[in-house]
Amino acid sequence: MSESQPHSHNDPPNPYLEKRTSPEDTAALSQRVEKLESLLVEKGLVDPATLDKLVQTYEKDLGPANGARVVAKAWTDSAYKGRLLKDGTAAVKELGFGGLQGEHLVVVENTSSVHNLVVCTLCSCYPWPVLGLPPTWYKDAAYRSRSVVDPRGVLRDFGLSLDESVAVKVWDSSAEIRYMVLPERPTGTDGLNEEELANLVSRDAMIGVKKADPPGP
Amino acid sequence: MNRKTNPDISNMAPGTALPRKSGELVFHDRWERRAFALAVTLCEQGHYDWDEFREHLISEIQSDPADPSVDHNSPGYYEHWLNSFERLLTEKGICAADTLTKGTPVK
Repeated sequence: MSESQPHSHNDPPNPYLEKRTSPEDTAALSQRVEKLESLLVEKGLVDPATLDKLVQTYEKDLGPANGARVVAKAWTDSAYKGRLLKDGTAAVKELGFGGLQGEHLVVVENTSSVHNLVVCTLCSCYPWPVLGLPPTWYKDAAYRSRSVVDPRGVLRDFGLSLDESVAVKVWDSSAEIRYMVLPERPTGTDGLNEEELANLVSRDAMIGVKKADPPGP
Repeated sequence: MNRKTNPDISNMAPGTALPRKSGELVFHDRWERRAFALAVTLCEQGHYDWDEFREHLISEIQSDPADPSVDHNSPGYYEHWLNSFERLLTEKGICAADTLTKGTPVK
């Protein structure tokens, strides 16, 4: 990453991120919105109590649930899986998950002989449209550096001991490419539908620090 | 309550996309959250399609030549948003133009 673009690695450029209005402007704008809101409340169009909930819905609408649905679909539809591994961005868009702003989503498949692990060694690049917000540890310097040097040790810390015969591949995310792991489908899940399968797919499994959960009793 | 979000709103193209940091929506002040919620609520109620709102947002943003990342006095994203929303309310006859304050301080 070049020194001249310290933020380019982390987020798609958005010129409005740092923008803050002066206290005077903020006060004027606050009044303007309050007046507008009361006008719409008077007209019976808006219930003030629901407004915060609506914002929260949008704030939370970046769940690993999106990624889990992608994985479940790939487990049950081999043609979809093929498209997903070939062009992750296009394949998640098929399911209505966009929001990748210029970066490409690359999906890497775990098999009985290969285990994939995703990291961003420089900062915290993360495929948030499918995985939601990154966990705190994903941004830790320890995780970022150790994943490269000692990935098996990192996986052991997460409670995953892999056989020596399984190759571990580490994928370093960047501003242009975001990675997501397609975990192996757990055994004993033949009878499950897509929704039930999606429930077995945790965020951590799609980062690659865990496997998909086994089906419950 | 299990509300659904509208992907047309969540996933607008670069240029009009909601400001986000690591995927998280960025609101600097409470009025920005309220302005966001009001415009989305009226769209959910079917007063307009999101595309109509977005067209206004595009034109508001394009009519402002300043680069907000350089000129911090230029309007921010949600000021454009608010202008777009008020224009749409007037056009749709939901609010009369003279009932809106349009950026002038309320005395």
